Formats: sequence, structure tokens, C-alpha cells
Amino acid sequence: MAGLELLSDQGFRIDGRRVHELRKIQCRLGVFSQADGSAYIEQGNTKVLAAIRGSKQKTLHDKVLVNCQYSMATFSTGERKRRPRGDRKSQEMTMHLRQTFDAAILTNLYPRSQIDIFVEVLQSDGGNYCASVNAATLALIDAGIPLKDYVCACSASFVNDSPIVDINYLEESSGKPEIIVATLPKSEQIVFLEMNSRLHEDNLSKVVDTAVKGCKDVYQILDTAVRDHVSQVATVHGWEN
Amino acid sequence: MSSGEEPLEKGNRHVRLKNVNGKHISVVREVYRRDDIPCQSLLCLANCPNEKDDVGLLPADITHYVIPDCQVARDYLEIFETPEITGIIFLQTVAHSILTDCSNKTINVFVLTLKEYLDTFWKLAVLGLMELYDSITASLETKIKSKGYLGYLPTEVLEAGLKSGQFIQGFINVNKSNAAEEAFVKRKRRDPKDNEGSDILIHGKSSRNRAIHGDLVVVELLPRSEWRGRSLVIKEEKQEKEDAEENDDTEEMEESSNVMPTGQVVGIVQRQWREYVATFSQNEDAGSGKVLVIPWDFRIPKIRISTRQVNTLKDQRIVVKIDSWDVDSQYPNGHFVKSLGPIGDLETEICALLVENSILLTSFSEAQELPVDTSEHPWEIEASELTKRRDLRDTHLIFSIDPKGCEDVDDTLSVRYLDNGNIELGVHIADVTHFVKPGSLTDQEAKIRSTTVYLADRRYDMLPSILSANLCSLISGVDRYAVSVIWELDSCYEVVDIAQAMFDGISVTKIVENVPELKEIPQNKLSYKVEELRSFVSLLMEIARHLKAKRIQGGALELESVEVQVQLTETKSIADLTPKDHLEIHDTIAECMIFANHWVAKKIAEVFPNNALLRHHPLPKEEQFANLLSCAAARGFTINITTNKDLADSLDKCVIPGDPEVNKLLRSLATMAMSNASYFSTGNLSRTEFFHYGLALDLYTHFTSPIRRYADVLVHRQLMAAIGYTGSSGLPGNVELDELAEHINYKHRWTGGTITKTDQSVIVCSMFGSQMYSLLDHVTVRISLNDSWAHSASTRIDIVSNQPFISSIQQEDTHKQQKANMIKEVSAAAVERRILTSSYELGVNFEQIKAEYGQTSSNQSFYCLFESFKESAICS
Repeated sequence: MAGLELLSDQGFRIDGRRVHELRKIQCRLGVFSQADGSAYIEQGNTKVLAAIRGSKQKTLHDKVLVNCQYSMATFSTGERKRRPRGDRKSQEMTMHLRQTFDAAILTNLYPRSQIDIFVEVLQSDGGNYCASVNAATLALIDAGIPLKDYVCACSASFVNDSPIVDINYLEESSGKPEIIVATLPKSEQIVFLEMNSRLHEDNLSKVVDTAVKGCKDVYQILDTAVRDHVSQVATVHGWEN
Repeated sequence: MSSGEEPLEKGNRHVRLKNVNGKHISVVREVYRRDDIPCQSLLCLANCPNEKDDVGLLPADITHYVIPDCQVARDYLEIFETPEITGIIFLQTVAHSILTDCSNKTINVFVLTLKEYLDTFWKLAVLGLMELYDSITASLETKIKSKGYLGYLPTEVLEAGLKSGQFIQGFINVNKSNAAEEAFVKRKRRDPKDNEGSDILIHGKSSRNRAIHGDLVVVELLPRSEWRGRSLVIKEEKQEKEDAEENDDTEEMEESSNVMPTGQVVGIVQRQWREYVATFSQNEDAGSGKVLVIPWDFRIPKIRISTRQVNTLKDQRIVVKIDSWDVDSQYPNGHFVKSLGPIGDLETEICALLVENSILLTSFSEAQELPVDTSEHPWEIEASELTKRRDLRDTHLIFSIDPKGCEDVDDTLSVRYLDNGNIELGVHIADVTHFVKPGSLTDQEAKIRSTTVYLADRRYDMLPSILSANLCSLISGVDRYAVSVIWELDSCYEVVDIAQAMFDGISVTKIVENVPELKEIPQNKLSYKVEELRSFVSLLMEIARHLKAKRIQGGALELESVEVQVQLTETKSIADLTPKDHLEIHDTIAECMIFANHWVAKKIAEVFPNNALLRHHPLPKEEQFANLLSCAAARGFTINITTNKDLADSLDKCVIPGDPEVNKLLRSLATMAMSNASYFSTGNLSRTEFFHYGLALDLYTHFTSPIRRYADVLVHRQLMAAIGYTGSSGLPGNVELDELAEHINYKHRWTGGTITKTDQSVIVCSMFGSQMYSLLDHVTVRISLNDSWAHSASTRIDIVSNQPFISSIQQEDTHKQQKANMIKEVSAAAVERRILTSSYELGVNFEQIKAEYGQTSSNQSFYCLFESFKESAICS
């Protein structure tokens, strides 16, 4: 996309956001009744569905086995996607998600069992990993699985000497550096960090800080959504008191 | 949307894009509509937080604002560039759309077509606007089927080919004397180890494949069996123009030099289309519709434009812009932009020259924040600056040596004895960077202009005149900021203390003694100046001689160039032509400047090893010397070109007693053989390539003319950071600096180097082919004007007799003698024109030295000279 101005002189990005603004996030918990826990999240035009299922297994006797399956719907991208799962990208994403949640779930509470996390990207517009992590976190909370903290993920890039947060597909594909961070917002611990392309080390801390700040903003939104959901469920069941 | 803020309204935009395979795909992009953008209008009713930032405010004295939509803004942008139309609001979407070239619709409150709008509001106010509109509209509709060219290869194929070495990338240069047939591609970024580094010949229009002079193209080499040499026959211009189209196929193999790599254009990386000056052909019938116009520059093909005003514009020079060149069209399509005026008018011709050389002649935009210096608010030195700077007002006698009437004085000198017997030499340069902050509008404007352009009767400044002629200019008797380089020299004029040599004081100049009439009587004139000053000047000359001697020992070349001064009468016709006198004091100044430049280069290269802006002069290529060698051989001299020292020595030996012109001519030829010096960033070349061949210095930069060269401004900033006066945060990095250097190099290089080369090989061969005159004989020639309807006027040089021209009253009229010398020299630069008439701008070759000595900006003098010739011919 040569000649495309990612950040205008006035400080606006292509889609009209400023550098520090996230895309619009909307989410719901408990969208399926069959699964143990489920959630749906929209971050801008990236839409992700996550579901949790728990089962017994025998391989690990001291902790739970976290298993992930990441897939993208055939209709999720501009051109039809040939292989919805099992390609290199999806496998990599699956592995990243497993590592992330292995670190966040209190695994030793469920020995000899398995947690399956299914993530389906319905529409993809950049930040698939971030949306997947956020959706899976909500689904895990919906399923009532003890976590160290929310796991919030956010991406950031670096354009015209200023870091920009939560990049969309257009900004992702411009060849600029991309940093993806997943954190435990309360303790500010980073559970996952990935970087694509090249970035000068002087700017690294700036960009990471921006991404971490983005994660905290995401946390606020997720937390509100969870509290709303819980109070709604409580009302239905008549547990207000 | 950050937490705590009002969420933005989210929408989707559907875009249909063509992907690389040519398939259409539909893409959805989300957009956020904001409600927190200030309206920037002075008439705002909603109390927007309008700030006068870089966007600027909308004017209040206006009846309406215009919001053009994408389509209108993209196709008719030139109309909105008209200064009369103000109050235009460009939506961000529109700006993006223009950049990405995809269309979209926006909803306006009042929807008018552009034509209606122009009709309603501007028809009476701005004449010619409707014509411009019509012209653009017509050219948008144009689709003509004709002779086909091959299509270009897709980008990824080109990229892969470039990587694998199958294709070669370079800038295309059309041969000026054979524009229809020959073009050369100069390889971009030549690898020094690459032996096959010669230029590639593109023969014929179909292999040139719609590339226009200056484009960055990708070429594919043809098989070796199809390689051919460049043609050596200079065709008659007139005939060539007419049957250029027909004789493509019938043409037999002409007499050719050695075969050289030949290729064809398979793709264009970047178009370098600019605005071209053009003229209607003389016999164009008065019909409307599509007309072919002949560009002023021979190297540009005819352009097809649509206009209904052939009759009114017939005798005028017009500016056209190329829009497209379709595969199936023989000529590019363009549109009419504006008229410059009637052919032959001085103003018109000067405008034409400026447009052709992409010189910005618009006045400075008003939005710049400039200091004021009026009688009510006189500009004063700030007290805070005074504490930071060294005050040289009372301690040093600072003087400048400039011709009379010079407004932008940027270099001054001082010299004095210290108590310990050593000499302190100071070079004080105007502190432009104090006023021009990086990134400011003034800075951006200066960056675009890059240099001040001098013409015989006017100049186009790089900086607004309040700076260039007043506050930055070190004029006599006022206080100014300056950047000084001060050395301490011992009695043998050796630099004593290198650590101290780079000491920087920022002086406030108080006394600037002008030596205005210097060019007339150099030595005697000084006698009535203060005694002190005279002794200083002679001391200075002494030092300069010493410095120069040292440099010449190191192998510096003394090259020759002729500068001609045009003296104009009040009606702007030519009164006289005089070669510029060359006085020793000019050398003195130049030497001091070279000295300062050298030491500044040392300093910034030391502090910024990766991103200092330096100037280098690469080794000349051996084949370039062929002409010089054969000319010298004609008179029995041998020239040794192994090193610059050898060259300088052997040039010194080429003296025929009683005939100084021979030596001068040979030096001129040596000048032509030189590669062009250029700016570069130190991170981009290896240490061994930093040297300056002509000056025989290991490091060199331009520091001494910040008022008229942008490179000097950059160097000033780097120097300030290097000595810790300012922070180094705002300095450009290596890559950015490299791009800047390229830009400045381009701006300084109006006169193409490669064309010179092709012309020279022609000189030699035609001389030996005809055997009529032996080289370097004196002949008398007559310069006359070869008037051309559409192209630049050229000079015709006829041989009057093959005896040297000796003025009958030689003793008394030395002035005339000088003129004759000059004419001879000019004639030698274009020897072949004695036999064949052709268009040839003589200024091309003489500029290298001048570029070195800092007067780059008067590059145009020869152009101007001959344009003025023409003018005088018309007037009389």
C-alpha cells in the first residue's frame, strides 16, 4: 500500500482514530448453552467467538491440560479462505493461545483433567490474536475457571515516530513494526509478547508501553461487561440480595 | 475509544479494489466519525477550540466554504490551487482518496457540480478558470486508438527480475541531439565493483516504450546480437522532426561507434512528469479539439492536449501537464494548465526557463512566522542569545568582500594577531538556523527550493527576503547573529592547535566593511580604505596563498571555466557582455571558504559518523578523458590522468608560449571530464569514498552559504549539535538525510551530465572525419541566433575566417579582446557546431568549478545569456 498515509499530519489514522484510541469493543458472555463457557467479542470489524469445554484425561496427574483450537471461518477474510484450520498460521496461533492460557489459568487446581478452548474467528480485520485472547478470557470467566487475572491482549505499531495502539488490518499489512502483548493487567505482568518486522530498540519501550496501556483499557471494558453479565444473571435467578 | 471517553460512532466503508492479479475484491474498512475536530473557522458559532496550528485557519472574509468531494478534488485539483479561491475544506477522506486513488462518495450539504460552482462564483472573478476546467474535462474524456506499445510487466515480476539481476533499474536520459531514436539508461546506485557499469542504450521509440526523459525505468537487456552502437551522425533537426515517425523501420544501420549494451523498457517504477512548456506548431489549423503541442525541451515527445482556444494561444508559450500515456496511443495525453505569454517576450521566456527547470517562482506563503524588522519595530538582538554567544563586536574587525549591490551576504572574514604572535583567522557565516527552525514552514519551503536562483536581472530566493536580504545577511554596520569558525595559526600559517581550531563562537557582527568596487581596481582601490583593513586583507591573501599551495601540493586541480556577466540597460536589453574578471581576492575568499568547509566537515563527520552531510567528488571515469587526451595530443602534449596530482602537473605543462588560450581550453575540457560532485550522508558510503577529487581533500562539505543553499542549513544544524549548542534530537537520520541529499543534488543539477558526454565523443570524431581544421587552431567565429519556433533558441556558430580574430586597435581596446577570447572559448566547447548547426546550450559544461566554489545558484547564466541574445535580436 505504497503512498497510503497511515497517520495524517493532524494526528488521525486512516479510520479516523487518534493514536491512542482503541477500536470499538462490544462483547457478550454466555452465548451458547451447550458449552461450559462461551463469549463473543467484536473489536472493530474483528469478530471472534470462543467456547470452553472441560473433560477428564489421564496424561497429566498434577495439573490441567490446556488444549486450544483456533480456526478462521472461510468467510472471515476478503477472499475466500481455503483451509479454515490446520494451516501454519492457525497452528502457530493455537500454540500461542495455549501458552498464554497455560500461564494464566491456575492449572494445579484441576489435576487429571483437560480444558478445551475453541476459538473461531468469524470476521478478521487485524488483531486476531488479541481478540481471540480477550474472547477466551471472557469464556473462561463464564465457565467459572479460576484465573490469576484477566488476560488482556492488545497490539501496537510505530508510525511516523509515534506509537499507535490496536492496529487494524490495513495498518498491519503496511509493513510497519507490530508488537502484540498479552498482560495480566492488575500485576502488569506480561504473559505473551510478539514482534513482527523491525523496530529500533530506542523505540521499543515506547511501543510496549502503549500496548500495555491498551491492555489496561481493554481490561476496563471487559471487566464492565463481566459485571453487567453477572448482575443480569443474578437478576434472572433472583439473587440480588 | 479509550475508557471514560464518549464512544465514537462507527461506520463501514465498502471499497472495491483491484488486487495484484487484476481481480476485483471488495474490502470493508471501518471508519470512526469524530465530533471533536475543531472547525478552524474564524466565523465559528459553536466555540470550537480553534488553534492556529499547522492546519491554518479558514478566512473570515468569505461568503461560503467549498467542500470538494473525492472525484472533484482528484480530477480538478489545479483549479483549487488557484490562489483566488480560498476557504476550501478538504475532508480527510478526500485527502486519503487522492493519495490512494480510489473513488468514493461523500455527502455534501449543497451539491453542485464543479462546473455550476465555478459558473456561479468565479466566472467573472478569475478569467481563464473555465478554460482550465474545459481543458481538463476534455482530456479526461480523451481516448484515442492508435499505434500500440507493449504493456508494462506487473510490479512483482519487475521486482523479482531486479533482484535476480535480469532487469536493470535506472533513470532514462534522452539524447538531446537525436531525441526520436536514442535514449540512455543510467544505472541507479552503481556498484563500484560492477564492471558492466556502462549506460544502456535504448534505441527507437518502441523499445523506449512510453518512457519520458527522467523517468525511473526498468530495462531488460536485449540479446548480444541485437546490441548496437550510438549513432554518430548528427541529423538535421528540422528534417528529423518531420520524419521521425516514419523512418523507424526503413533506417539502415548508420555509422556507429562500438556496440554498447542495448535494452528495452519493460516497466516504469516512477514517472518524473512535471509541467512542460510547449508551443503550438506553426501550421496548426484553427480547429478545436485535440491538438499536438511541441514541448520546449527536445527530449520530451509531443503532447496531445484538448483545447478550444487554439487561436488565442497560438502565439503563446503555454504550460501543459501530461496526464497519461495509453498503450494504444502514439503520443501522451495532457492538458493545458496556463499560458505564460507571447513568444519572444522576455518575461515569457524567463518564465519558460523557470518552469522547464522546475524552479518555484511562487511567492512565499504568508503563514510563515517571520521576525519583523520595520522602522516601528526594529529587530534587536535578544539578551538571552547574547549570554549564550560570544560577542565579537568589539574584539574583531569583521569584513566581507562582495561585489557591489550584493544583498545576501553570508560569509565574512576576520583576521588578527594574538598576543603570543600567532594569527587568529575567523570565518563568520550568517546564522540562518537561528531563524529557520527544523520543520517550520520556512524550513519546508527552503527544502523544496533548495537553492537561490540567480538570473541576470533578478533572483529567486530560497528564504523569504526579510531573512535573506536583511536579518540573516551580514550587512555593514548592524548587529547580526553568526556562526564562526576560528583558527589559531602560527607564523608559518600552520594550524597550531587542532583541538582549538574547531572552536565555535557565535559572533554578533558589528563592523562589516564592504569592498564593493573591488572588481574594478583590486589593489589600488584598497589604498583609501583604512590602513588596518588593508593590512588585514593582504595578510589574508598571504594565508590563502599558503593554503592553496598546500592543497595543490596534495594534488588539487585548477580548472578553467568562463563566467560571463551580462550588463543590462534599464529597459532590460543587453548592453554588454563581459567575462568576469578573475582577481586574486576571489581566490582568497574561496580558499578561506574551502578551509572552513573542510574543518566543519571534519567536525561533523567525527561527531556523526553515520549521518553527517558531506560533499564528495568521485574519481572521474577514464573514458571521460578521451576527448581531453586526443585534443592535447593534437598539439603534442601528453596528459597523465593516473591521479589528480598527475593530472594537475601535466595540465600545467601544456603551455604554448604566447597562447594562453590553449591551456585554458584544455583545462575546460578537463572540467568537462569530471564527474559531478554530490552531497551524501556518511552512513551511505564507505570511508574511502568520502574524498573530494577536485579539491584534493579527504573531507568536504558546504557550510558557507546557508542563505542560498539548503545543504548548508543542514550542515549548520549538524555543527550546532556537534558542538553541543543545540541538542541532536531534531537531526535527520541516515536514510532521511540520504533522501534529502538526493533531492538537493537533483535541484543543483539542472544541466544534465550524461548528455555532455555523448556530445563530446561526437566532437572528436567529426573533427577527424572532416580533417578540415586541426584542433586548437584559432579561428574567428560569429555567433548568431538560430531562432526556433517551439524549442529553446539555439546559437549558430559560423566560421568567419580561420585566422585568429585580432582587434585592429588591440592595445586600446582590451575589452574587445576579452570578448573575442570568450567567444573563442565558447566556440571550442561546441566545436562541432562549426560544421553542423544544432541546438546546444553552451552553459552545460562550464559549471563544475562554480559548483565547487559555492556560486551554484547562478547556474543559469548561459541560458540566460542566450535567451537575452534572442531578446536583443528581437528588440533591435
